[in-house]
Amino acid sequence: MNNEFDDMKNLWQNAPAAQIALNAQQIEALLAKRSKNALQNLRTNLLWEFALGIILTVLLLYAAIQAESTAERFAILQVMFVIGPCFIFYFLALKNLNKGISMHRPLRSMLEESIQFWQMALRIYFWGGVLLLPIVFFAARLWRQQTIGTGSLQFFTGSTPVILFKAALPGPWFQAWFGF
Amino acid sequence: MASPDKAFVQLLLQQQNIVHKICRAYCPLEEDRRDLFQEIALQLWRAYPNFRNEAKESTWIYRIALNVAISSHRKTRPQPIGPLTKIMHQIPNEESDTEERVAMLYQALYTLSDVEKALLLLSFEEKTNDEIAELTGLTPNNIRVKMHRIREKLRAHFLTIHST
Repeated sequence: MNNEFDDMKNLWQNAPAAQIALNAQQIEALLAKRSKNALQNLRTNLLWEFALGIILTVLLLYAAIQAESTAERFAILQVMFVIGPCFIFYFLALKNLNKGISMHRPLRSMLEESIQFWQMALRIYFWGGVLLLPIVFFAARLWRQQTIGTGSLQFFTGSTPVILFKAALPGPWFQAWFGF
Repeated sequence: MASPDKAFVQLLLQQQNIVHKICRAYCPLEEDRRDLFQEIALQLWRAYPNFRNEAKESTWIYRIALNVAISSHRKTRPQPIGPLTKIMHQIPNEESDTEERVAMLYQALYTLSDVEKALLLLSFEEKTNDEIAELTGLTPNNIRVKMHRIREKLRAHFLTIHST
């Protein structure tokens, strides 16, 4: 075995691994590309969701300014103040994710840090899904009751489980889009 | 991210063989290897401003490259030695003897876990147990035990190969 082990060591030390070595231009081109790692994907997704939240809040604010009646304006503002603060959560999550994982540490502590980091990322998505979905739906129902009244907008009618089921229908599409 | 400085590109040019070898050791498939090479290059570049020449360049590259390789998600897993691989070893091919032996080396590496592979590769680079301990965060005693198990695993692997 010792011979085979030494043989493996010599092979490892002397054998070239790549058939074609990269030149300086190829390395520079490689560094100009974006990382495809899971952390970068997660960060990009959260950034999109955060941007969407900002746009939604601004649109609601615009709708409130343009509202014809005080009751309608009040309803829109109520919805905005329910949904708006939720996106602070996204901001804090992004801030935490931007710290990343330091790869220059010893393997064991890097792995410990990675486990903690991904547990935190999972918690962010779990609580993001668990808390934001009902908040958004109750905000929508509140808005419907105060502006349109009952009987219209059939999609929002029905019991809460039915509404949540309808809301979950595009879930697989979103999952595929996010690459999970 | 700012454009990479010439010193870093030169460093990666000189040491790219280490990164290529680690990519091949952790990724049996070419597609995964390219992605891992890029990820390692990006992480090295990110860590480069903190590189103070306190460690040898190759040691610094090994540390980051192994950390990235182990923590990265790969689409494909190393394939265990299957019947076709056994047949391949029995048939002489057109590759040179060295290339064939290198291929066998990587096949042996694919039988090890990610951490075992890291320990073996560091020992191939003549790192002492104390140096490996510093790089991995394991104790020297733990490394001795793990290295013994790695040798046992490799012995079993080579016995399988020779018996076919």
